[in-house]
Amino acid sequence: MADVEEELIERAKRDAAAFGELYDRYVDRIYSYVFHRTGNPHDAEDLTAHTFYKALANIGAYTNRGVPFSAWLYRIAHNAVANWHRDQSRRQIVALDDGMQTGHKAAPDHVTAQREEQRLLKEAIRRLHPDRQLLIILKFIDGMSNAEIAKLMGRTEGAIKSLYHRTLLALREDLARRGLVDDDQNRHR
Amino acid sequence: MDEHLLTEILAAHADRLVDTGDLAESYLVMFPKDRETLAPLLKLAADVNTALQPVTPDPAFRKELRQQLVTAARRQFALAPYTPGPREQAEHWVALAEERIREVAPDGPLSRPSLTFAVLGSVLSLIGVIAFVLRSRSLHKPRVATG
Repeated sequence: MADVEEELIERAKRDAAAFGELYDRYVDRIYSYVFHRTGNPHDAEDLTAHTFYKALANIGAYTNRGVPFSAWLYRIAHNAVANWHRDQSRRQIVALDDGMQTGHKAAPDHVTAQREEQRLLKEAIRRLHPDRQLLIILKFIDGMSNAEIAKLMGRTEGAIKSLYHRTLLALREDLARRGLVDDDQNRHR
Repeated sequence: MDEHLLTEILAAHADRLVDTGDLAESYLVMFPKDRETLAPLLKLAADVNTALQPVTPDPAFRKELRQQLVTAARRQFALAPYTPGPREQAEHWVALAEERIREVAPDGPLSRPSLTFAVLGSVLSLIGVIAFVLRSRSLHKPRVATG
């Protein structure tokens, strides 16, 4: 599998059709990552396009150093999102959150409450340090193992487990600060 | 609860969340004394997993971007054909040398690292010779008196 991909990457350095195949393999993952980082489909599309154009411009210089190709793509997307956040920092960002807030019929109260909880949780996730966001997106959306994430993020497996633990604590602290969860737990730590 | 153990439990729980579902209760039964510490974190992890569902791009966007990229790639490759970098070239030479040695001496003692060093040594020697020649030339260049 890795060899097939390596061969595809080598071909994509000189063959447009092969680059198209690489795009097919990764576009959903990159879009999903960017969407969860930005919270709206419009910017997710822009940043996904930016990521792949940048990948195309630099694919000739890509060399396999034992890290998956996806790591290289995620790094480009990660930097694109960081620049986007910098540009947006002075503006109030209103996330559409999966389009769930618009154009939907009135939902039962418990469903509305559940959606609101999820929206607040997603906002809290977006306030996490970018590396922590990357970690939980890779884990819960891409379903990657700790070993795979470690390789992708250039850390050890132990460091990834520890980062995940700290991420949950940071998330909980953030929610508690905003009165969204009982902060007894934080006192118990 | 021991910090390291807690980290391991959270990591294992997250892996199961993705693979098989929420096994929080099993962990809480295994570590009843630590329920107070564990339960909120396991619940939060499950909530994060529920909130973060994969999203796919609009098919029209996906298709259009693909077409644009393939067109851009064709233009890029036509304007500036790909040439391997120094590292890839070096790897190519090592692979060639390996192949040649396998032909000449199939059971030879040379390993890939020693071959790499041999090729690297040759390249460095060559650079040294070129540097020496260039330096000699610049030292013996006739100087024009000024002033």
